[in-house]
Amino acid sequence: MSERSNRWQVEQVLALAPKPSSVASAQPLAVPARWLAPGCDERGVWGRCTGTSTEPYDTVVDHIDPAFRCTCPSRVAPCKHALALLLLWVRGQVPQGEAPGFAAPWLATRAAVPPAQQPPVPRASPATAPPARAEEAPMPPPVPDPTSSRDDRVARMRAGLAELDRWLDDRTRTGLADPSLARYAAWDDLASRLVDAQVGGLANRVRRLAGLVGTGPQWHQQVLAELGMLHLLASAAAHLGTLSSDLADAVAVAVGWQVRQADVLAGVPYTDHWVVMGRSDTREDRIEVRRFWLRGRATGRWAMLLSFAAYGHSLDTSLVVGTQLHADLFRYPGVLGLRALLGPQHEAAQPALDVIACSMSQACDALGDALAAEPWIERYPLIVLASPTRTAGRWVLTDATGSLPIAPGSPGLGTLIACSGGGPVAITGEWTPAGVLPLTVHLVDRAVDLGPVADTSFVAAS
Amino acid sequence: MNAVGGYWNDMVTVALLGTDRREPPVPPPGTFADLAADDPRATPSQRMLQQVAAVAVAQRAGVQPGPVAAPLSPPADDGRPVTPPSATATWHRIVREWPVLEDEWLLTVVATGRRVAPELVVPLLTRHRTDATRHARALLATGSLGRWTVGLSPRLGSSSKKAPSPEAVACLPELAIMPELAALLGAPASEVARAVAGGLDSTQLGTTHRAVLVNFVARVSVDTLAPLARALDRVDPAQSSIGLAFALADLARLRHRALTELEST
Repeated sequence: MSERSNRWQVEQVLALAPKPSSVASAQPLAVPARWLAPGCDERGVWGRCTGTSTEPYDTVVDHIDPAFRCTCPSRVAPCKHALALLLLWVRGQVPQGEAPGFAAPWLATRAAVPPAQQPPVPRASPATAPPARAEEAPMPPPVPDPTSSRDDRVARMRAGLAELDRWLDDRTRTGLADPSLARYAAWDDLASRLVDAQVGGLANRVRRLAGLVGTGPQWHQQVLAELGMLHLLASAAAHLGTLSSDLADAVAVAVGWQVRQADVLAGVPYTDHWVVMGRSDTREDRIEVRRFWLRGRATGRWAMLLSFAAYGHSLDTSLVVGTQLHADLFRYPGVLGLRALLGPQHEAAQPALDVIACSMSQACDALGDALAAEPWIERYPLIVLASPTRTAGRWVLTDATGSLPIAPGSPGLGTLIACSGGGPVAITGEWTPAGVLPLTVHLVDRAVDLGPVADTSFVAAS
Repeated sequence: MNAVGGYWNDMVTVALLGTDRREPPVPPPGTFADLAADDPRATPSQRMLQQVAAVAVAQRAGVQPGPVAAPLSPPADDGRPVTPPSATATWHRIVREWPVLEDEWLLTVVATGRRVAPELVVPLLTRHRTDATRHARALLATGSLGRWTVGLSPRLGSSSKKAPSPEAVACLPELAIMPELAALLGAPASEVARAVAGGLDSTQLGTTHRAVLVNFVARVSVDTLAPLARALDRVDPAQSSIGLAFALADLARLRHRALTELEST
């Protein structure tokens, strides 16, 4: 696999930060101007960080079996210099090269010692762990996966799942009216423990669930349904061995078991003309997540591409809604296999304006099939020919076969109404338990992107 | 309400109170009762969680469309052609980089007998909510679709109670331009290019004049814009005002494109 595919993602670096302030301290240093002769190879990343001291700090990171070495006086590992160097590297701003004198011997020693005998990497604190959710689990640091460490991890996950089920049981006994549930800390403490147990997917669900408490007249129903989903996932994950392999994969990914990008890219490619149907940005803790929904022209199957950006970084802008790519996609494991990676493209992107939309009834059938396969999913794409209208005090999408509610607060609703002029239009949306979030209106000569846009004060404007 | 709906509501009630205070409801005969019988749980809270998960899955996977809703009555016909997609992109660039051009862009849309693309209706009305004159101008450019949208979403209406005068709506706002430059507003292109680019080259004009130079380029005759941009490109890169020269050239080119694409298509 190429160096590019071995390169980490931003959230992996953030996961290594020992405390939130480490990331903030590292950000200003993660610019090429602060580094003398940075370089990387298949084992390490190195550079000399210039700062207030007379001598630059020599920083080296082993990115295969993560470890750090820096001449700065900090006793925190990884220090801000190591984090900054890694951030620079993941952004592709560190050139390939030969390790210099201050890095080569250390990296050579690391390479010679089996991973099991090397000192452990400091674990990320709960506060800095990256988001991991059912369909958007970020890649882990590429730590070798010897049986012993995998067993340790499975044991930690099992302990975390048991703790989650105990917590759910307590909440069920004491009731949702318990005032302690109104405090975010009650949920965040559990989420932190789940991160420790390396079930980050569940931790993120718990944090999102905390946001539902008290948000509307129906919040008890929504929270109860989501508690049911958490119980379902915890129970399923505790019995992975009894599930079919696809379902076990889907459950494992949903609870936070991370899949290496290289393993996904080693799978079978799905070649098609993939139409970029919609885009949606959401903030997950301290990471902005961009979701592109693609649909295969030949197969009609959906796929989801994700990109992540920490504060000040850019989201992927290479895909344009309303275009199509003739490309290979590699799907993550699971029953639905929605999440995918983009492989080689066989020709340049072309406009794709003729989309095939279905009725509300057909969309509900497809949605029901998807939710029956993976009931815990929180988003699913649909494309319908429908009109936005208002009924019983809320906005819905309707056609002759029925209606679905539009998610309250959808940022693109006004533009959807204006583009429709009250009539039926082809709309790509994301189903969520709160309603459909409109993402794109497909007009005759163009596609109008309505999806939620990342806050430009958080991500770098592209 | 069907049996499952009633069962769910009973579970929500118990969930609020907690199973320490109230026993979970008995599942209705059928799938949920079978599940409870197949996998009996020891405690009321465990039985409750099992049933909550099962009913939540059934409700999600059994999603059904709601009742058909009456469509909205459409807006009145607006026979004016819509601005081309390139003009939509130009508007986005104007508001992002050179908002000084927006008034002229909107007035040109109206003057050329067009209306803005529907995807601009909400951004335009939202952007000018607090400025009665500009909001009225936006309503002119969005036409019946704009008025219809405001009717559906009153928050898109103007926040000002005072109606603007028709003259103010139809006229470009006056911009501050120093007299030496104001005298060049109608001058031949070569003279304008020489005065502005030459002034920057000779340091008679500099970054302290930025605001008035921007206003000048935003109001100078359209025929002058292309030659002016070319002359600004030739300003000596060693001059401290080279950044300003580039910015003014960009402004001139954007204004030229914004006006010509509306007038020519």
